[in-house]
Amino acid sequence: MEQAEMYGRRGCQLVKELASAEPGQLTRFNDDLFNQVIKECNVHYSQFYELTRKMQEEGLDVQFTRNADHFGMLIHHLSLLRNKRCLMAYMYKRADILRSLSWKVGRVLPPEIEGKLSDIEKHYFKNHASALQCYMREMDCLDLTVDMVPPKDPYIKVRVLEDIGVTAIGDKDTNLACHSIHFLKCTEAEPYIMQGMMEELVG
Amino acid sequence: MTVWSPLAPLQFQFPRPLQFQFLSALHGRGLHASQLTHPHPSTAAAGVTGEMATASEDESAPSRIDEEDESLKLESDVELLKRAWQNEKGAPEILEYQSALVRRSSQQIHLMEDLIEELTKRGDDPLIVSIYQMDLDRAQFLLRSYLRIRLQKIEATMLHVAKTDLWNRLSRQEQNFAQRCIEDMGSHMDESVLSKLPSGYQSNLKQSNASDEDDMVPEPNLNTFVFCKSQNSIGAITLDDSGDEIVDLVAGELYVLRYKTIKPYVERDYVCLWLVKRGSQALNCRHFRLNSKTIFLA
Repeated sequence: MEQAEMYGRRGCQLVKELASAEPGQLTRFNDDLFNQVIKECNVHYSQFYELTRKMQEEGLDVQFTRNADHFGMLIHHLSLLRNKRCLMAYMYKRADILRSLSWKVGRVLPPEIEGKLSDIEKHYFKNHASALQCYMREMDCLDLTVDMVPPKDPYIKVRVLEDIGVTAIGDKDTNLACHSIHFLKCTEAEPYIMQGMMEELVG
Repeated sequence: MTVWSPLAPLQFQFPRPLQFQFLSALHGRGLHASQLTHPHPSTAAAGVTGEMATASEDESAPSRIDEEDESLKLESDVELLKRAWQNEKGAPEILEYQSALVRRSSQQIHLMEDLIEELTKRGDDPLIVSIYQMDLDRAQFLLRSYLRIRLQKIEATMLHVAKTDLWNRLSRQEQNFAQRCIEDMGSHMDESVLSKLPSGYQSNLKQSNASDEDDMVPEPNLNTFVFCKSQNSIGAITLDDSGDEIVDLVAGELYVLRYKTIKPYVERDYVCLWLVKRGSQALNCRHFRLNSKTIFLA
């Protein structure tokens, strides 16, 4: 005997996946499950439509009659809404994480995160990053992505984690070779620290 | 409020050494915000070394005393900015944009950057220069954080802001940003979810065509508890609609209240929201029992 399929189970799975991920971390976009939920929505709708037609053929008032078909329609409608809510929550929460990422890493996504996104999400990230850049340009090029923590000392000691090479820091060119230690201004070091290319040496 | 004079750099006290005080001193030296828009590098630099102190004093001698008195009563822009930042950080909804304050602050910051550059070129005492630099960094942090918090609030509640009169609290640039955010989010949702759903369920704002109003737009929770302080005694305010519970706001005392009850006072700048570190002075604050729920301050 076939087990009855519970409506909204897959939608619930999608949301659980979101909830079980580490806060602020993205999991791989679950294309498969996502499309299954969409298919379920369309199935609900077609059944809803069938029942409407059936009631109309029987000559009953679709809006006000309260029979088994009406309640069947109600269940399909509510299940559809629930699935819509799960899908929207999934996309919205991921978009939320992408927005907070654009504050941290700027315009270029690190490859390990990019691999977890769908194409539409990559497009959204680009759009949002450019909207932010536009705003900062309008505000006389005030960079809002630096200075994320209140400044304690004007200069900090950093160790370079990746080989960056010779870069212009402030007025002079510095050779940011791997494992080298430098004494830099906070605002200059911050973008590198955010991207994980440098770490702050404390103590 | 001590007005720290930059005339005698070796004599300055460190009452609150990392407070942004020298800009208030600039204020006190008769340099009003209007004058700062046309910066006079010689007077600014002279103020520091003290060489041409007499010259700058003579400039506007009769009115200078009045201006200094005035500036002692007025708060410096940094204090205003800090208060605006605190309010913005504590409030659950977006507050009125302080356009004049932001404009003046960024002008003053540019002025200080030029000043520091000049001092470094001249080879002045690096300790003094680094102290100015730290002060400047703090002011920059305040300004950037203020704008950042507002943008993040817009991102979180973009549809709600666009629908209500909160839209008028945004600056022109923020409105452009919000508009773009809404379009980006709208097209993102459309492409990924809404276009694939059956017709009648494709709206971004309504759950389905059966909904009477836009039931998919989340609103900020105005009932969250916030810490607040008022400079002057305001007197009794009612805590809920029925008028049963009343609280007396005394000057300088720290309170924990629902944001909704003090919303009009925050908007008119009578009450300032306070940011409290966990486990610190919070224990000295009054708790209020509302509907038999006590607020535990950890």
